[in-house]
Amino acid sequence: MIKTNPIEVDREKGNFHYNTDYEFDAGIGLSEDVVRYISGVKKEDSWLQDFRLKALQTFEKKRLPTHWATNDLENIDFDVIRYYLSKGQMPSRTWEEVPDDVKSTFERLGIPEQERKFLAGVEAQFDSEAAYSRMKDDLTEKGVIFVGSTEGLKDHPEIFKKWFGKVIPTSDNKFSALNSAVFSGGSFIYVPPGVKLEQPLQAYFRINAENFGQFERTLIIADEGAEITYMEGCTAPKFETSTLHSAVVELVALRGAKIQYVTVQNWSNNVFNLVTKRAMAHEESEVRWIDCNIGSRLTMKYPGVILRGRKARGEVLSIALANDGQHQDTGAKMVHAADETTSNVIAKSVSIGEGRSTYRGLVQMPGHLKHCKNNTECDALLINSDSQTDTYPAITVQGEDHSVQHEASVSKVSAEQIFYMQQRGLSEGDAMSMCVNGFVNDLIREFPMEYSVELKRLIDLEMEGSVG
Amino acid sequence: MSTLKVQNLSVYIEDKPILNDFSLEIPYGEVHAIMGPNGSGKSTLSKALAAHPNYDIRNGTAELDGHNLIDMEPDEISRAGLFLAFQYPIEVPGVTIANFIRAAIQARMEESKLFKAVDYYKKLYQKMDDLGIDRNFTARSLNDGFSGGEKKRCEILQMAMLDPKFCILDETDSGLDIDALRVVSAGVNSMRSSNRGFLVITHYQRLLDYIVPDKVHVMWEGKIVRSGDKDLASELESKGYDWIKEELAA
Amino acid sequence: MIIDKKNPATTPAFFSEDYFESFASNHSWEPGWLADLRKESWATLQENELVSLKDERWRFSPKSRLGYSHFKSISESSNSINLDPASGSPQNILNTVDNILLDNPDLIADFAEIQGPNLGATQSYHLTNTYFTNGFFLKVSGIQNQKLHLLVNHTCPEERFVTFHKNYVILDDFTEVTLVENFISENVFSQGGLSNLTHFKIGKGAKLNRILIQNMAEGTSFHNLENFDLHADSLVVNVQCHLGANQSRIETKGNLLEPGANFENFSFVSGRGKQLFDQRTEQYHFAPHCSSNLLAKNVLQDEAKSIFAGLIKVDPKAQQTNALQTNRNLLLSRDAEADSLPGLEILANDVSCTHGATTSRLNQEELFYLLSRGIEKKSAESLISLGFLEEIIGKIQDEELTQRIREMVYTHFK
Repeated sequence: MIKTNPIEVDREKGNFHYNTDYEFDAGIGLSEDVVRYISGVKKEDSWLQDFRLKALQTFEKKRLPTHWATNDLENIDFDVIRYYLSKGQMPSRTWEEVPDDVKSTFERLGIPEQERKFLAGVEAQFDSEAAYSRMKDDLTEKGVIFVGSTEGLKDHPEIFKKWFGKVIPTSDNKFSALNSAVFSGGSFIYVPPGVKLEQPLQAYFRINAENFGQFERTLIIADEGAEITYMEGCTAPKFETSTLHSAVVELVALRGAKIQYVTVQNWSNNVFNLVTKRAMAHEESEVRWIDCNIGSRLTMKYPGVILRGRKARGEVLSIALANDGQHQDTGAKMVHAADETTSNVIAKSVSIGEGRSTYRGLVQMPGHLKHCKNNTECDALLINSDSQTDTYPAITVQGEDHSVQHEASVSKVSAEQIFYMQQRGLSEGDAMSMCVNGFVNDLIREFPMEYSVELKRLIDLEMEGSVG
Repeated sequence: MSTLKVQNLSVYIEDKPILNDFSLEIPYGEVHAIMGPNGSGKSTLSKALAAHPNYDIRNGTAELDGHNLIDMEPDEISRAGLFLAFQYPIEVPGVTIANFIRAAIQARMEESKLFKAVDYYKKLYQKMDDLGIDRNFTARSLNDGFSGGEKKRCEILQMAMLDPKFCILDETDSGLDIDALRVVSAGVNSMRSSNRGFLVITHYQRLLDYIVPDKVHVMWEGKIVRSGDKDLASELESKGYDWIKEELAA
Repeated sequence: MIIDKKNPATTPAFFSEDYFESFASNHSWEPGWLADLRKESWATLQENELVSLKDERWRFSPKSRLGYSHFKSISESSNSINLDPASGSPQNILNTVDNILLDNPDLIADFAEIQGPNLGATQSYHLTNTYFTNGFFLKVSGIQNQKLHLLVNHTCPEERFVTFHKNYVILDDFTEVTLVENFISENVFSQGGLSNLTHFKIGKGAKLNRILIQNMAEGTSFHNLENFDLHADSLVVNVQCHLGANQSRIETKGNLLEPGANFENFSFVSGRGKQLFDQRTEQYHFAPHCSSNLLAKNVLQDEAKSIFAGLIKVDPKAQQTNALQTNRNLLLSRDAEADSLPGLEILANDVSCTHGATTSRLNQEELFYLLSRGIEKKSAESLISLGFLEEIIGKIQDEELTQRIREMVYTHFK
């Protein structure tokens, strides 16, 4: 278990950087020209370029949400960021074809190995574009589509255009507008009716360049009765300057479909991670966000489900670890828009050192609906006396026919617990790790096997040296 | 010869002296019992020897098998072979018994040695059966929601699994019904051997009918005031602690 | 009055510079510190005119209903406060603020600096500090032989008028008092507004048992802002019963300033028609070893709406804090709405803090059981609702009073 063998290399798993030459570079700062450049290299239709330019205007109009969110947002300098960097727009289908400098990055991160072991398909994004994208052949035969955003909109407009930007409107917030203006990369996935993917599809997002902004866009559509698990991971080298990651992820679960979306976010501590994620759940469908935030400087992310079909079900399982210099501002949104819809939110956060974790929740149930249910639990664990946690749920219920329950608690690891475990021979650090793992354990069990092992290891690493 | 040797120990809690010039020596192979009324310092002795941070040792020495326990960390003391069965075992939510004991065993192993899960579970189940603990307990959180009797059995299970050189049982009999007391005592008795020492701390003689001690000490205001064989325990039971009080005053 | 959307009111006169000038000159007899307080509050009010729309402290609140634009003028009647000065003893002072200002203004001067609760209703706060003409002053000193039980009635003015009350409750160290405050209307026509601001200063080891009963006429507006400063080992049990008024903004803040303080805040709302109850609370732990407990229960019929926004705040030095916060809502109709914002801001690690919020309908099994005994639906609903509120009512240790409150709740179901 927590034998934290000499893991120095692993602890800094993503903290390396190979020099890379880019064919395409939109330069520094944001302007209409930058947006046109991105749209141009992607050879996009004019509707899409218009969509981007309109989004840019929305972005410029919208204020930072500092009236409720942290002032740290003001430290983002949009004028020094590089908005598009790539070697080309088409991903390779075999690892052999991937340029060496990029390939060695992903090999070091273990992506090809994971693909062989347990994945149905992988997309590996390097800065603005996917360097590699491949799915098992039998899935292609079944009609599953797994491509990048550019390719999706170009080659399958009849499928993707209908839902693109519909779950999350451009104007949802300042960062969804920014993404809509400059998005590149991400996954567009379609699973045909009745097709059930037994293994997960995975996307891996790598930021390599300094002062770079990554703005991938993901849209997953599970047609009637389809089932899919999608997982995403990410890393970036630790630069002195800040890096921006601002994704938009839209999910559509049609009647009876099931989507499970798993995120293990392990950005380095200089990354602002400001992500908008929302799902539309139709009749009797199920959407489940499993969201784990360990890295980044500031994460603001509140995965949501709009429950618009009868008996739809939405779930958010969230784990956040905030260490020194980190603020994990996470949560969930459940908008009930049909009868007999149910939602469940379980959020656990651990604040270590001077770390700060915040939970924000939103639950809405209008009066004309029948038999809606929500259950929310959020528990916070504070490790040190400088650690901080906040909880801000907002619950609106109309009508006599719903049931909503919200419980939250704050606790700490007690000195008596640590002493008891030490008396059995565990070191103070191991005892602390064990308590923290115990706190998040029932949630981690919900993760796919391979990820739960990885996650436990990451938590142990975060806990190292946190005592005292 | 291996012993637990405590000399002139003074222990304070928040500047209040609890143990005062306390001395005691227990050779391996022997079982000693300490009896005394509430507040006489019995539990302070066990916590202080295990280096609980709230107990301030200001004077004296404590040696286990040549290790100087003073200035050692609680986990180092544990790995040096001292096991404390707590009077009030702490609840640790989310940490299962199986994982916890396994981690404790691994902490005692050399880095290079491989942990054999099959052997571990075989041994764990054997000990659980001996102590009448349901095998499903391995998946339950450590002491979390356990009854008093279940907690005490779980303490003895850990003791059996960790194979310590010296065991302190702090009021292990409190809160046990007679059947549980028999099972727990049998567990302890099966571990008695010539190379292991025991210190049994108790308020009542009842436990000592099952775990028969080689020596009995009476503690009073942070010191041992009487020592004798197991008959001393019976005498205390019939006469009560006031008898000691009167004798000391005389 | 019921706000008429077709007939939007104009800005009332008391927002004009002229009105304030003439008010000030009419009150020129008042001590200088008070003139300064009024002037400062007036100035702050002018600065705050342009408050941003997106104030989190007004989330979910239909702010226009809680403004002052539907009033014509200020009622300065001295009859709006009714109390029994004789209930004071040589050691205790209980009197109206206007009497104190005439007889012994220095008494209040000592407490002029106290601020709060400051949970968002800045306009009400500054208006009250600018224009208050009445209120009560209570100071309890020395240990009583028998239990001190005091009563204060606040009366709402007639339609289109608003009254501002500012009150002081000072408990010296180790004193103990039960204070009951009624908020009433003289008759069904007295549909004006009452804005009430109270500062509670609870000395070391002192105990305050406070009961607020608001049953003003339909159509009235109620703003109630109260701030409790709790010193070492003091105890406040605050029970609030809200039944009347068309719209209420209620702010309650407990500051646990020194170790050992204990703040208990229990409240219920029984809402019907188009009633709005906007409740904001804060339990602020400044010192270690304090505890606070809050339970807010709301029963809503028809188109009634309640907002509960509570915050537990724990400062870094407030270790060993024990804080609870619970909001339970019972919705009895399709158009009733309950908004819940239970918040935590925890900056100390050795704490035990929990909050919970539930919103549900009547237990259908319970309802069916009562119906099967021949009880009418409305009456069954009232019985179950009363049972739901009993947890709050039961905190009042006065049989006569609790019976009266139960009657009030019953009449809400007719």
